[in-house]
Amino acid sequence: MAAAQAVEEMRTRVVLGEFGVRNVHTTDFPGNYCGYDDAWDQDRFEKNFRVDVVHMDENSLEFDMVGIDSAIANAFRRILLAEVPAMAVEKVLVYNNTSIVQDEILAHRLGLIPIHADPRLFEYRNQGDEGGTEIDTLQFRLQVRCTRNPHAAKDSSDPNELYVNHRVYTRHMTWVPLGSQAALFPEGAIRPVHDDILIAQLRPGQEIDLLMHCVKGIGKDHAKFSPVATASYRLLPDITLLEPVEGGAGEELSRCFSPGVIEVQEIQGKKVASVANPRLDTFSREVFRNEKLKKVVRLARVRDHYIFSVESTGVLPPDVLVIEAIKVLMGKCQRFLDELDAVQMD
Amino acid sequence: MTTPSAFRGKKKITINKDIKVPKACLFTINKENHTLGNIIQSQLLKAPQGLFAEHRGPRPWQHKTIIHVQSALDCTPRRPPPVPSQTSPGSSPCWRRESERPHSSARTK
Repeated sequence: MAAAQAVEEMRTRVVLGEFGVRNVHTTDFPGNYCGYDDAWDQDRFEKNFRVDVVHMDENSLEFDMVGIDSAIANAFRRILLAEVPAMAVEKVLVYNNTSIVQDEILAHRLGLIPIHADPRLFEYRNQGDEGGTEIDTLQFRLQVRCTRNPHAAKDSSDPNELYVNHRVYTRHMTWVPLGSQAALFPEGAIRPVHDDILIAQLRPGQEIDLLMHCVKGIGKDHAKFSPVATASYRLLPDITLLEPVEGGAGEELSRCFSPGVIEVQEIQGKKVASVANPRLDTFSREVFRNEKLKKVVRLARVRDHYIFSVESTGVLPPDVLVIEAIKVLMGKCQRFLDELDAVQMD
Repeated sequence: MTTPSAFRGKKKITINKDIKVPKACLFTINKENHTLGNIIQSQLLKAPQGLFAEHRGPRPWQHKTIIHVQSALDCTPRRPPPVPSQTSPGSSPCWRRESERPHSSARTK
């Protein structure tokens, strides 16, 4: 029985020991374990696979994907970061910039501003196309001039009082519709996601006057096109107590883990510790610093249970981003299959 | 810019037969990376006829991935025959121990 348990642990758990991590790689390939049928089976995969949305609000999403291999989970993470398209400022035509911020620094900052425009409604710009048409370009205008405030108090040293327009925010960017864009997008639909991002600071006599072209791109090309603030995953923690933990040791144990993981209950007059919610733990491994308790606990992670956390920059809702990532992966696989059919073996 | 239009004109996949090892093939896929390569590698390893499968990106500045596949039975690495589905756990193929694998993968703990 111990051998069977050990095999199960090898197959399904990544074990965090005191000095190292064991069973990291997937080993359940056909033929590796006798008595197990590990060949790819579509029905078995469909039976075991599930996606549970744990928490969702307008900019962040936490969901679980259970029953897939690490390669697929990582592919979704990589695609969310680098291959789901978004719109961002690419070309900046500077008519006048007498501010302290150099042209190229200003252009770099403008490129990083997230633009609230659905990238699915736009096309990629063709290479060599300098002008930009209404189907692949958005135009924004930024015109700010700083002047002295004539009504400021004589001895004031507060810039907010002394100067007018001394801070250039994204709310100063105005959308200039091209062609039929004005008819397609309602007023206020195309704008920077946040209107309080500070772009530059000015003093009286300084002016910024420029025109920006936004195009569609992917994060692989430049990080400004990445639609997620971040997308990451972790494996579901699995904490088992190898021996019963009672009395004061129970309190000590609960302090070794994140709050809510270990629960100490009164059972028949004795305080007994039990694992209440291992999902909350961040695995600081504090328990390994305690000589008595490190033998009592097995820290592990469930190998095929991925807890994804996707934070959108505001361009698209996070659940739409995940769906787009899935579509990108499907597109890649389909293109690969088509090419495979077309290519001859030499 | 690595937009899709920038990629036109280059061949996406090249297939080469591996001369050193029987029944093995090298698929060179242009403009793909670990995102697709790792998935294909893990799925190939799950196929019962897959003896060897790896994905590698040869050099970081070369934007391509090479998938190296060796298959066991009489089938070309390109199109494996459909597998008869084996649903009972007892009938798993333990033929790996008898086949010519370069290293033993059976754990004897």
